[in-house]
Amino acid sequence: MSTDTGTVTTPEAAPLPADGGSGTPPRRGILTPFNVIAGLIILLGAWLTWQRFTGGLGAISHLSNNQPWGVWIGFDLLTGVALAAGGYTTAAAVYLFGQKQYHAAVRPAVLTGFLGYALVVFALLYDVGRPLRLPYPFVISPGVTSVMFEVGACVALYLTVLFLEFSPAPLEWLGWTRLRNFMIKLTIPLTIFGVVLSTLHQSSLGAMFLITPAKLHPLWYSNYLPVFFFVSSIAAGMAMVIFEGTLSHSIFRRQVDPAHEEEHHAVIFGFAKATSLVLMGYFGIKVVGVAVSNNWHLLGTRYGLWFLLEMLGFVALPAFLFGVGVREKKLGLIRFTALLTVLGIVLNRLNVAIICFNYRLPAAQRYVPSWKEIGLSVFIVTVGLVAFRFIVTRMPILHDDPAYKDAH
Amino acid sequence: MSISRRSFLQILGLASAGAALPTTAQAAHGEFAGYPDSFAVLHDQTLCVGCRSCEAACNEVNNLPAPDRPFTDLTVLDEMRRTSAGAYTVVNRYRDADEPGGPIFRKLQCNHCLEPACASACFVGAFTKTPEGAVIYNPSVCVGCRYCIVACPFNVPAYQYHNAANPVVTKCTMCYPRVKEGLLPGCVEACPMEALSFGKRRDLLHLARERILRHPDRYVDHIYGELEMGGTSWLYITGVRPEKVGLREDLGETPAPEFTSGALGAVPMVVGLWPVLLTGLYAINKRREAVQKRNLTEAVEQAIGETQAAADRKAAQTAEKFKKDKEAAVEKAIQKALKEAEAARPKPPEEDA
Amino acid sequence: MAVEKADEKRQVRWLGIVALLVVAAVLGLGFLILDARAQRKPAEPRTDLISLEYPVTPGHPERAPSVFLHQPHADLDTTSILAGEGCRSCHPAREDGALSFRFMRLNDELPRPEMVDLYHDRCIGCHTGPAAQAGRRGPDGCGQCHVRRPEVAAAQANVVMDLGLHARHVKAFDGKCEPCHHVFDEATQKLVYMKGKESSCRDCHGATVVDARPTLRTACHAACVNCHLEHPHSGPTSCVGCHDLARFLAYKRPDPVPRLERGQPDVVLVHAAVEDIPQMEQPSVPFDHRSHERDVNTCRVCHHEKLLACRECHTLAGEERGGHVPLAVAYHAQGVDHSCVGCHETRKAAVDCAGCHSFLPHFALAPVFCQRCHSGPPPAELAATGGTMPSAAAYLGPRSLAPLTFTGDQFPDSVTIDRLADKYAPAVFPHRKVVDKLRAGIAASPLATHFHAEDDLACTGCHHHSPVGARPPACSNCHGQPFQPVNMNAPGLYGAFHQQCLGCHERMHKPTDCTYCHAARSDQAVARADQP
Repeated sequence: MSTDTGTVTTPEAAPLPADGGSGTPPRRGILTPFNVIAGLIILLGAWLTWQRFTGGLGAISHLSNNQPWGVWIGFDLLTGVALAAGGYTTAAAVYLFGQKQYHAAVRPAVLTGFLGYALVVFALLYDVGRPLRLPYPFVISPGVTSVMFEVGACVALYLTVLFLEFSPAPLEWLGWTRLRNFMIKLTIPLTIFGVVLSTLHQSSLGAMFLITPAKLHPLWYSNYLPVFFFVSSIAAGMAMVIFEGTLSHSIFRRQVDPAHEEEHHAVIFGFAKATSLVLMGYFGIKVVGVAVSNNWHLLGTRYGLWFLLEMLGFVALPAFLFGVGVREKKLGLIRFTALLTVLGIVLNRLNVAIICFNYRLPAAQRYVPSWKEIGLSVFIVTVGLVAFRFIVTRMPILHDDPAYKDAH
Repeated sequence: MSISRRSFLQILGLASAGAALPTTAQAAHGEFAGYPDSFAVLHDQTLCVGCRSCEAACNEVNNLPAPDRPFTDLTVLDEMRRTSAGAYTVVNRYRDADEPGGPIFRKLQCNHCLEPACASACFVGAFTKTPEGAVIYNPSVCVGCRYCIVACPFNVPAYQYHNAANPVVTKCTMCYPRVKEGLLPGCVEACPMEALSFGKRRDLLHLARERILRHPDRYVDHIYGELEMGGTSWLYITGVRPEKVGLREDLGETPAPEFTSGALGAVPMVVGLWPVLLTGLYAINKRREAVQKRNLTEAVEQAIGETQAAADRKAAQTAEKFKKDKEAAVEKAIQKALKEAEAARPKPPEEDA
Repeated sequence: MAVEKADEKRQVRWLGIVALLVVAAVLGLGFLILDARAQRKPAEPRTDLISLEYPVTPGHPERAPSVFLHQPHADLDTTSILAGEGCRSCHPAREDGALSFRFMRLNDELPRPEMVDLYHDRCIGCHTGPAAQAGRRGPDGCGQCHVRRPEVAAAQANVVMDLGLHARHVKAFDGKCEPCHHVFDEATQKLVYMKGKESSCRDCHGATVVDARPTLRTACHAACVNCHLEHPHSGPTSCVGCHDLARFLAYKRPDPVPRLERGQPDVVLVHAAVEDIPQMEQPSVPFDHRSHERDVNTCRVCHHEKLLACRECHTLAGEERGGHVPLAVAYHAQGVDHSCVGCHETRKAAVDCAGCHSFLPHFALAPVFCQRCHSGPPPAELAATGGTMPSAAAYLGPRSLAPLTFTGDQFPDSVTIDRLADKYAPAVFPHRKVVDKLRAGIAASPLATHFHAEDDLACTGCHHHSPVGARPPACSNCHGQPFQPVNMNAPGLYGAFHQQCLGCHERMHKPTDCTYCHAARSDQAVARADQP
């Protein structure tokens, strides 16, 4: 339990996490299964990186002139940004909507968000033809008619915001109190700024596809694409908080202090309720989207069935299951449903970017990702997981640093 | 935690700056009819005989690498091709020689739209619609994001996926440097059947209409590119329905930038209003918390006060009781003492009386 | 606690399984429906399909039309099934013995409920009664006849009594017209034959019933099929016998088709109605009616259904009985095949003519050609005759091509075109051979001969936009740089050569390979893709 007295209390007053609160993980053997597999993946990633930058995009991907955007954009960028939305949703819930009972979820969510966006930029370095020119739109030649310009500007700013929001944790770890206290004071404006930026770029990622009505299947194309992407990002972020929180609390249980453990249950049930509501709203506006374009007849086609699968199996079903889980107090069901929601968002972004894109092309010309592309995506995610583990096991993310009891 | 005045002002400043951002999302509602004297090319598909002279000329004029199969090899027409990194234009055969009516061909290249999707989509402004009509590309700013390729409804731009150091986007330039010198584009000059006509766009529209009127049995009554995607600078008149020569008829007449101008126009609104809403929410919550806290304190104080008063009353009562008891006891003691004193007094001798 | 958790896990698992099953069922059902739709074959065309239906009016939904296939019913040996035999099983006879080809009734005057009952009772009655007893049970469920998505579709070709078939009938009737041609006499209210007033059936019988006149279909079936039934092997009696186009066209017709004699002239002077002659501007037109009869398959093509002379309905100013079409328009209208000019235009698309004529803009009626037709007596002369027209035959134009007057240097045997020789050697053009070939084609066509009798016109096919003469201008006089704003329609010289030569070759089905005209100079010379 924390008090908001702002004073330093003696260590005995609050129970310590198992690592003694010293900020260093306990000694273990270096060759754990995770380390070995992650190491191999990183080696693979290094090799793929060398291939990419010596042979061009064509050396490791099946990207083509018909399909210039593949798994790196569809998954790493679009899905990554959607799943990292937990940062702004949690921060907004706690700091702007006053839901103090979810306070324990803020730092993990912000960390997930920060790493998620950092990985997005990392993936862009591979996908874009000339990564060193990434600053060009902002300093040399802005293309302000482009939705992507707005996405880029917002993502760059938001990454900064997330970094600043996250900074108190490493600062506490480093013991730089004055700077850390200053950063804490910035929380509210940073949160507001973060929500504004998130609204803009989450919706604009959908707006990028507004310019492709000829290529994106009518059931996924809509004038409301920005709204769809924004609303689904809220659900995605909250589901990701549940999912990642569950995993972290079991994998990194040594880092979790009892206060966080207790609040965690509140987080899970509270977020499950909220996600259920958002998913129902999302389902409703998707129905509106079909009605407005009068595309009911398309539901009887193969793509229509795929659409129904996405909507019924990955939006309506989780909305319902979350409700059941909250009412029956079933943690297991909620965890399963969170995973289902996350997969649904992945499916939606992949549908928009790859599966239902270029739907008019004959099957022989459709894009299938190469194993190297998928390998690189796995590598990027692995780098993120390693960074996550490094931070969580050292910095006060899943527990409060006893020296800073005003952290909220 | 209360928001400091400085933070509040910072937020306001950001909000207004955001609203004032030059997000000049072109309100391009198809009102741009093209630069008045811009050039265009009219492709009379009925005259195309599939000789590929245009492809050869384009390759020569643009110093492109020699292709795997020479331009005299007409078996390449057995497959449908699209533009690629080394081929700014291709000719496709859309009906085989043994089908009724014989083979039909069409040349495919960038259509140089009046309001190009690629120019609208490019976030470094690498594409420009020139007053001469050509849509040109500036490789020196291109970041290689390939959004232009995603955006183009005609599937025209290509990318050098196998160039690691210096990949660029490739597409037909309408031979912009040659046109500026007063020369004809390479393909136009090379076509033996003069299936490509070059001139001012409005003149070519008149020419196309005239040809259709003169030979109504030869042409489909439609100039493709006059209105499609808001109008293009490469016009087509065909002997069969445009769909049959690979010209999509379902693209509509809305220019591409108009699809995204709505979403972009909403950005300043969000930047302006969201901070206000969120700050308001935060303030409301803060106020609610403060009121709650005050109510709690008041309640506690009141409780304390009431308890205190009750305790005081009780104490007073007890004191009163003690006092009474004490008095009663004293009284009793006096009485008892008097009685005892009375009993202890020696009795006087009894007198007879 | 452990029991609760295990319990919860089990419930979660069940919920998940049920949910997955539901989703899978929905999707599976969807795929089945899609596959079924994809498997549906296209409807088989049947000439004997009769669709029995009432028109749908708003507020009165109808069942789907009944699909009735006539041939299987006609093929039935009904002696064992029904009282009547053959067609009479379903088609009752009138007083004169002719069958009514309505189903079990003589006319259509039944109101709707009775009509519906008639069909239901008789059809289902037979299907479930006599036919079933004979071992062939027919459909008796509503949806078996009223099929919503039938596998068959009606495919009756509209057939025409062309002149060849008509000649066969004339021969069969020994030249008599009475058996088929009749008019309705208002006085006696009867159908009678009036000589000289024979017109097309379609003159009176149309698509709908008008004033008790049966439709064309009813009239034709009543007249044709009854007669064919009466005289066995005289003609088709089944649907497919006439309405299958391939079979219909395959019937033997006399060759050459003998002339249909109806008192028409061999050659006639075409002019306005006698009272309008003073208003005529152009001279009259001598018209070879006899030779034009060979170019059409029915008289109706020009004379419409009424088979009257043009000026009887079309006046100079246009009147209602002529469809408000003035006389001049009737003769000169383009895009239709019943006007003189319109029919001539379609002939110009023939392979022998298309080489030059495809270049000419549509709707180009050059005034110089007026005199080719208007070569008869002028209106003044006609008015002076006072009604008796002069003989038209004297005014007919020449029947043969005049010989070429250009000789020697004026008419080179071959021309070498070398102005733009680059990737190819100069082209050697066999001038005389080409002209001779073209003239041979003209001479083979009476129409072409009539219009190109003078030798100059054929030259303008290539030597265009310039006065005809011994020294036509060089191509490069007008064709220089392409895309000149002053004359966007004139190709540059390079394009002009290829469009002129190749365009003509393509339309006249002559070789179009590049090397047919000029040898390739280097391996960079390109080839055409539309060559075998």
